[in-house]
Amino acid sequence: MPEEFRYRVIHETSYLYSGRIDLCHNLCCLCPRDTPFQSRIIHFMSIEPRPEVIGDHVDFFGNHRNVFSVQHSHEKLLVRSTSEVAISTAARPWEGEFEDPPWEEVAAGLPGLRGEAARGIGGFRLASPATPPVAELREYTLASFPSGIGVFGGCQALMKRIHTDFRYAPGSTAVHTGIKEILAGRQGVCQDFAHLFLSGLRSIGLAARYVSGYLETLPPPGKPRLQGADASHAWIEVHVPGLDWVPFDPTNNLCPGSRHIVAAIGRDYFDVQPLRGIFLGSGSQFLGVRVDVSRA
Amino acid sequence: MEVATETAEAKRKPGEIYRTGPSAYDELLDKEGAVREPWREWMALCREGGDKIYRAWNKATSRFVREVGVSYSVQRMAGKRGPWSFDPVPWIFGASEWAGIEAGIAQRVRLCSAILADLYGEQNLVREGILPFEIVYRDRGFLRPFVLDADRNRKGGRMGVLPGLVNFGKKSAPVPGLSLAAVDLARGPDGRMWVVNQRADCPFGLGFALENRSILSRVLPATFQQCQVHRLANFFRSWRGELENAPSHGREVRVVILAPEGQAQEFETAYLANYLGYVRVVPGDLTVRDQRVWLKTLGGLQPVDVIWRAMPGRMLDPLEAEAGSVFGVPGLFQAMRAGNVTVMNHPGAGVVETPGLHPFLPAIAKRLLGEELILPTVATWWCGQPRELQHVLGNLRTMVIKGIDIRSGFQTIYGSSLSEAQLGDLRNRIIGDPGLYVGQEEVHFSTLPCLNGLALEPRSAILRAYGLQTRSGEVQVLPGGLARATALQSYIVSTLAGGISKDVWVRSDTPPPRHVTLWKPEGVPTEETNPGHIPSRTGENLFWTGRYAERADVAARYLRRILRNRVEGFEQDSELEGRHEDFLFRALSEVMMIAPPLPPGGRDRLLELASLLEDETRAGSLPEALEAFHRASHEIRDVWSATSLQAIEACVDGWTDARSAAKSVFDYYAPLDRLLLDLTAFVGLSLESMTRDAGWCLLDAGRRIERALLLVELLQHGLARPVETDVASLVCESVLVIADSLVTFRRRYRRELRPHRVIDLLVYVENNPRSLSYQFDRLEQFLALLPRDGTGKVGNPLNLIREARKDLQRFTPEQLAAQDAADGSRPDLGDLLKRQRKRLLRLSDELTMAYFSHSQRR
Repeated sequence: MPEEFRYRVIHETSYLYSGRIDLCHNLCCLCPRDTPFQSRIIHFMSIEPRPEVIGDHVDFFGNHRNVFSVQHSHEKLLVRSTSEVAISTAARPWEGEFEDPPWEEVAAGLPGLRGEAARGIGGFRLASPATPPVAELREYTLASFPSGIGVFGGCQALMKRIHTDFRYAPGSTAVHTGIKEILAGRQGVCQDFAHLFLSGLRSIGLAARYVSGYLETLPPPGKPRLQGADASHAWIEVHVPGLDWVPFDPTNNLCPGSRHIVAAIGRDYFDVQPLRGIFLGSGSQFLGVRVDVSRA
Repeated sequence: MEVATETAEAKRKPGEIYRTGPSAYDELLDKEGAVREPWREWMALCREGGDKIYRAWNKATSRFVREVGVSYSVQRMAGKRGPWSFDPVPWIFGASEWAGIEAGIAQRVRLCSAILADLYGEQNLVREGILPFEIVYRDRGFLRPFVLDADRNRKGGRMGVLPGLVNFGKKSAPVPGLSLAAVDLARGPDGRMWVVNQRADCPFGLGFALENRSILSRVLPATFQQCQVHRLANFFRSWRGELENAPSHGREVRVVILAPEGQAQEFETAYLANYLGYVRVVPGDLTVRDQRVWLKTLGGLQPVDVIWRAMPGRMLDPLEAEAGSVFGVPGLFQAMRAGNVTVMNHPGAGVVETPGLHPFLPAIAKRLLGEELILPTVATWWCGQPRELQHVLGNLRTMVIKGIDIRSGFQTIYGSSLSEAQLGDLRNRIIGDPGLYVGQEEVHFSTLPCLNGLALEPRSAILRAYGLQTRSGEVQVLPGGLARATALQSYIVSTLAGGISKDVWVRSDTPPPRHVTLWKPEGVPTEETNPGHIPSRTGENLFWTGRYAERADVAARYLRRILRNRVEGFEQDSELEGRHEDFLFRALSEVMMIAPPLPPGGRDRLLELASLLEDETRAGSLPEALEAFHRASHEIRDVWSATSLQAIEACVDGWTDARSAAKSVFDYYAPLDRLLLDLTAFVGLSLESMTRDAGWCLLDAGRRIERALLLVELLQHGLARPVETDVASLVCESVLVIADSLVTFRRRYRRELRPHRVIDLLVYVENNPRSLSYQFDRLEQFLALLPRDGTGKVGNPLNLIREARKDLQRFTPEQLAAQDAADGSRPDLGDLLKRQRKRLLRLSDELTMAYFSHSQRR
């Protein structure tokens, strides 16, 4: 087993406008961030047509942002983000022996956090625009969190239930589908399951965050192909004292290891939308996305 | 604006001027019933004047409110009453008391500024647990894109410049956290002033404060002088100085006031824009290119250095604001990041408004300023803490419950007004998500007199005070403000429940300077002289105001002619007049493009006429043109003088009145005359009171193009197309009447109604302001005055007009009058008119393309 896997990620987005566009401003969240288990080797963007203005900065959550503006007449826009990352294959702390702290104690300790933790952990305990508290979902969540159970254990149980109770059905929901509808319809895509999971955990007072990222397109020989591999993927991370942030992928019912590539982290999808653009001009747009992840 | 006039005389005992209310503190009278010092002169005035002076106040107030308010009172135009009424009794403060309040307000403004610097910078308040992070992070006024993370950006970003509240990075100018903040104050039972709210997102009300002062200083001029009331203008001069104190790159700093689309805050921003002399813009007037903000003007794109925003920070940039926002200027935050534009107040300033801050303010003031709060805040408990939650739930009946995110739409709830069942619901709601709520002690604020009819009545009131922080960190407090009193004798002061606004007088121990001017000291050229300063949207609306005013005018002339013929003509020869009317209906239908078109037959004509006079949903009807005229002129209400606005109102309101009064179509004859007069008054006034700049050119160009177009069509129907011989002279006369040239014709040609003379007068006579040549002549003059934006686009419109004039010169009136032997039509005239019509339509399109359309690359 090598010490690390190297992946090359190509994320390509294209807009085809129905008329000519004279000005568009775009904000990207496509550059993979570093994590304790992942480091970025290279990242570059190629944009057609060539933008007049480009810039980049780090956002509130520590994600790398690219901004660009195309200021001349154009009919289509192609944004290709290419990156290479290395992911450690070392065993994750939660794969071995560890102490799983009782969830009520963890929840009770969060409001009093101080220092960087108040911002870095406490903030993820709070409801966000896409993860409002829903009483029904709180009940659903509590069923996996009997008194005294550890945070990790409870999350694992909840992840399994979401995986079983909800059908993975691409196209059944849209970007703005709310969690109430998902709860009622019992189906959705990875983003919906992540929002559901987050909202449930936050409603019982735990800190959890949204992760956008990628999966290897073709599985290595002998391994099953994971759901959500043909587009960008989403899962969540839960803060477990002693383990730091632990990832859970409800779509595939597993704790991500070296086959999940992290792009960005936020409170929900809308904090880490891969590409957000606003254009001036008439005409609607067609959005096509292609993601390709291969071993480098 | 309206004045409270309901009478309450019955409640008053003879000889008694004012009786205090149930509140523990009254502003006018102390516990013993003696008049408080600052009110002496005012009270003496009431004692002397009695009912007579109240009547005079009411009268003068309504007059001034109408005069000042008519220009801006938006709700009235939309058919609703404004939320404000104005009361002629001021809230008077003595000099020494105000000095203490002033220090307290200044401290609050400094505190707000320090809180912003901390929350968007180091976040020590959160790190040290002085302020629970939940209160900050759950507030939609807290804008994450502006959080400065020095460490991360020093390492990670090549641009490295996040717009913080300190100078950071080479290009970024020091951005003040806060420029202008408002503090709502009320006097508690103990006689101290308490802080009720802090406002910093886009503090509302300064325009009203100015307007109230402008009214009251005229209603009570002598008392105003006697009391030595502080003037407001100095504050605004300082504010303007702050706004203009930005890097200018060698030109005059351009400041714009950014208001939301639609009517919200229109009064306020239009008033302030006029008062301060800045352009008022909506998001669509601005564009971001090269990480700079530009104003789309008639002269092309012009750089903007400073934006005073009158819209919420979270709506400023749809690219980076919360999901789903469609307002704002895309790319604005990036332009701020690049240090190319200053936005005041800072977009993230709204976070200091959350009532969640209140319980923690004493500790925050100690930590950030090292000071004790001068003005106390109304006792507040945040329900996110277990003990505080228990306290609030245990005393729910005496609590005022507020949401910590004031942008969530949660309405303040007064526990005292709830039933047991409602209290239970509220309790469950709070327990469901306690961190979202605060409980505030319900305080009964002091009362002060309000004039209700001819009686003074006690009402609770709160004072909105304003402080301006300069770049050097000093705070200047407006000596005055906006007072709001309850409409009824209740304790709840709210703009939604309807309130009364009052002027606030701060007395000075020394006579203030007699006159403070806002004019700039030396001969700086005013913005108006440069066409490049007129936003394209303004230009476009001026153009369409001109077109619709003319369209309404011509529609009214057709209708008046038809009505007149019905009344007078039918008696003489009804068969001939019937065919004459056929002509008028046909021409009207086609010229005004009435849809559905008027039926050719004579039946139901009265019904059709009624619809043309009354139905604004029918395309081509008179009310439709008036409505469009109103809409276009209303969009740019800040460009009109007060008199022009009154003329607009007269046109629109006059017609509305006529519609409600009319019992048959014939009742419209006199109102049509009146409308023509009002429209002419509007056009005349506007042309008289506007400078001869690009905007004026467009207003008149719109009018000329419309007049030429409608005239071409009229001539086409009346003279070019075949007309039966016996009715021809009646038709010619109608053509002259509708083109408002009958009197001129008679004077010029006596009684010989020959077609070639009609053609001569309406097409060729250059000094007839109704002729086609005259319209072309004027259009050519205007187009030459319009700015060229470097692309030379104006060339096309000019060429079109020159072509049109040349085309006219190819013929004489006699040639054009030549008839086709077979059907009596005039083919040369017809073809010429068709060509001219095409040119005019193209001209309108070309102007739109060259000056109004910014989806084109410029």
